[in-house]
Amino acid sequence: MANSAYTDVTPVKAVRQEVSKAARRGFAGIGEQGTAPGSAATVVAWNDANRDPASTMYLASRATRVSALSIGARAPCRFTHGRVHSVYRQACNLEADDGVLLTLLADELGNVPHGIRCALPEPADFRAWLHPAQMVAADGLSLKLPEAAIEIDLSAATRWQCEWGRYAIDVRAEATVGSLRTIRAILRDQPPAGGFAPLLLQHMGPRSPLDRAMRGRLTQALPALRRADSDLDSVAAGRALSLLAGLGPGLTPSGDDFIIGYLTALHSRRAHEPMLSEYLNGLMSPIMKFAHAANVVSRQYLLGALEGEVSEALVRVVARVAGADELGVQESAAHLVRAGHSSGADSLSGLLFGLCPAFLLEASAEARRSIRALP
Amino acid sequence: MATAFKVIPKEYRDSVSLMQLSALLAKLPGIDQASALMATGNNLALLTEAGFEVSAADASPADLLIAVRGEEAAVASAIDEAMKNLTRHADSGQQGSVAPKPRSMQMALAEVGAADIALISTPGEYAAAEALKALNLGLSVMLFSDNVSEPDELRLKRAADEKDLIVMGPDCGTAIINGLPLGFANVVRRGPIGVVGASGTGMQEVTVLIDRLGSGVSQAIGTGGRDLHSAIGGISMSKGLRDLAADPITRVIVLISKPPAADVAERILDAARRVGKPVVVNFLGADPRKISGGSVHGARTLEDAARAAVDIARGELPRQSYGNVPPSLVGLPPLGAGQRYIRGLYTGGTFCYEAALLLDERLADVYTNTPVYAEGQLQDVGRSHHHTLIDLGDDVFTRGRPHPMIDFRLRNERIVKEAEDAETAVILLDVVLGYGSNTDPAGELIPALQRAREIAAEQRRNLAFVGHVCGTEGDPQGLDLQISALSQAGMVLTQSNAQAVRLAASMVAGRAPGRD
Repeated sequence: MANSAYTDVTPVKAVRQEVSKAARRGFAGIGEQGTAPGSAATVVAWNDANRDPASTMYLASRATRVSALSIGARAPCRFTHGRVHSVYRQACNLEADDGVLLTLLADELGNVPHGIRCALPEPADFRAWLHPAQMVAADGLSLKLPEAAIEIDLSAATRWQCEWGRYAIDVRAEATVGSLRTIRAILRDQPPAGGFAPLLLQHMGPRSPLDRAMRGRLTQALPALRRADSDLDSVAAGRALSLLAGLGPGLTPSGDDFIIGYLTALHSRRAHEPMLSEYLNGLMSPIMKFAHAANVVSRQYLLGALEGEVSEALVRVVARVAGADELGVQESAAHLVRAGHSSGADSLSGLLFGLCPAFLLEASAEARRSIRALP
Repeated sequence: MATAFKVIPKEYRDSVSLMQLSALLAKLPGIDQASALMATGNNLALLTEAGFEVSAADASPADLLIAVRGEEAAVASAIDEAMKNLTRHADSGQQGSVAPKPRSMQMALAEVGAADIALISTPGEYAAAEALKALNLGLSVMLFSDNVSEPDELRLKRAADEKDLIVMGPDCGTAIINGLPLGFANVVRRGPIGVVGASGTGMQEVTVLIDRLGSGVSQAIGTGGRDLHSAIGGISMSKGLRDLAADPITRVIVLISKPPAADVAERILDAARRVGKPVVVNFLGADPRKISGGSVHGARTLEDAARAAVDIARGELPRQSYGNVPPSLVGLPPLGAGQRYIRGLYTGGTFCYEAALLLDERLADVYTNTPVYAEGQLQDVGRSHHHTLIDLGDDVFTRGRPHPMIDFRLRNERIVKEAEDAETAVILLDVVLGYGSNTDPAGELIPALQRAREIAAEQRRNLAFVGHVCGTEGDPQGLDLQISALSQAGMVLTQSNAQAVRLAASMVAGRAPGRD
């Protein structure tokens, strides 16, 4: 996705058109699958005029080759040159010179819309290979990180995209209600140590004034969001969501993860509730505002969620709920809760709220009552 | 109260690191609250609502904000500590690029030379593949990882057996090999007693008591908790038994496990009778009289197993039982009439299991989250009722946070919660020292004991804290220091878990229904 499209508040439709045009033109950087010709073994000269091409050739030719397994549909197609932004065990963010973010992911983490899933060799830990500020260059065939002596071969990667049309959730269906109960139980019984889920669902009081303040925010924002959702009032929803954006712990703050889950729920409900499309369109402006006020990592996920492009782990939960696959819901929700520190649980909370606010709010009220009732 | 804060531009740490940094700062002396958050507008407002005086108008959402509140003198040094911590982690990352660590087991083996064991601690889904690589390189394996499937475990153990190697694990947290503690283990003197165990804290208790009784340990070999299931058939315990039988230093062997499958127990006991050395067996929950026979001595508790092994190593006859008489109740705090129940909050799973067995022999209505018996299963682990014993190391509690032997917050919160219950009489605790455990368990625990006591006192009640310290003088935390601090804080300490449980049971005897 071209980053320049997000420098101002641009309607999503226009962004889509721009991508389509770029796709027709062909890409200067990472190619859509099938567009990249030639052999993956080709060593391409370094793209930086200040570097000695010969030495780069040498580095590239002895680099460890890593196979990319799949590329997300929102992976930035203009990525030609940038640097390593941040490195974690199972993920590494690369920032292009124009500020757009591309995420490398360990195989087991699953896909994200702006990511490349890799079969990382031993040790399967990005921190052992990469460090912030290392240079990265891309052509249609590979990503090269000469200082880390790594070359990521893109030639065999498949394309990954959320396929929303297949996963329509009818929130009134009996099977859906059962699935939501399962999700609530997982959030209540397997919550992470931080984030929104323990504050909303656990029968234990907030541990610190910070937690108390955060719970206060939730108590203010969520009932207002529920009313806005029910009235399809996107202006009021934007106001309620503004209390959550950027709120809480984590590199992607809990509030941003919650919003991502909430938007995912709205997308999954659209097929059965056509009126929601207008509501979603109304949310574009406030969400884009939040995204531009967020850090680059949160921004990428929020903008993706606005278009219904979210992580594979979250899509899997939606697919299982839509398919009334009770066991699948349990497995996929538990898997999502384990993702990140609290990000998975926060986005799952947002999804639950977006599918049926009562499941989260009533459980939250019950948890609060039980805290008050403690001897 | 003073607030200090620091904005670190464009600092992207993962969420777990941020949580750990917040927890580290919150525990510094004089610090009341600490937080490491991304400096978004809402987080700045949140900090203000929570009482932090932070004015960071220039901060951007890409910046990391560290804020601490506490005593004037403490806040500045807490910020310094945070910066040191962040720098330290950045440095360690840099070192990796200057002098790359080995990237494969082959490279590590080439570097180390004479290694014959690989310790593997990776996410479960990769652990089996790594273990197989190690076995193919001729290395025995200590598999610290959990979430390895039972078929994979069987495959690995069969492969190891064919090569005359051993797989300790999966989920093997404790071992002492050639005097070197691996994982969660204590510093014990070397000596004539070899231990093979399917239980981590069980092995810690037995090796520690052997050391305290003046004897020593040749090897302590873990097998992983599922080794004695029918599907695995005790492959690692059998191999450990054979190895200790062949080891010239080992004169007595101790086997420890929760109840094995009947067919496996029979096979292991049969092998034990034929190894040619005395073997002490503690299969928790099994009747020791049915185990004893020939050169095999059955022990009811972990303490009994350690004492019997030491007696045998000294050429004495082991006793059938060492500790059924409750210790003296003199000097313990008087309890109110309504205080009837024991609340056990354990960090060691086997301690909890043993406690449940011993209490169930003496008292009715014992509930626990450890799988001792179906009818005593606690439905809601968040709420105690009647006599309740909680294994806080259970997956339910450890997901997303360190083990309670390292991070005391969860247990401390629960201690305070139990103190608020007017029916709580005794809070039963284990304190585990050694490598891997918290560096100052007493220091972590005492504020919670004091708070619990205050809560009880406000309601004109006393509370008894009973427990034991599983550790030795050689442990990094120092046994004497820990015992002395806990005793001064009013905790009643016994020599072993079994003694602590018996003492607790005798304190509530007559207050709640007993066993017929």
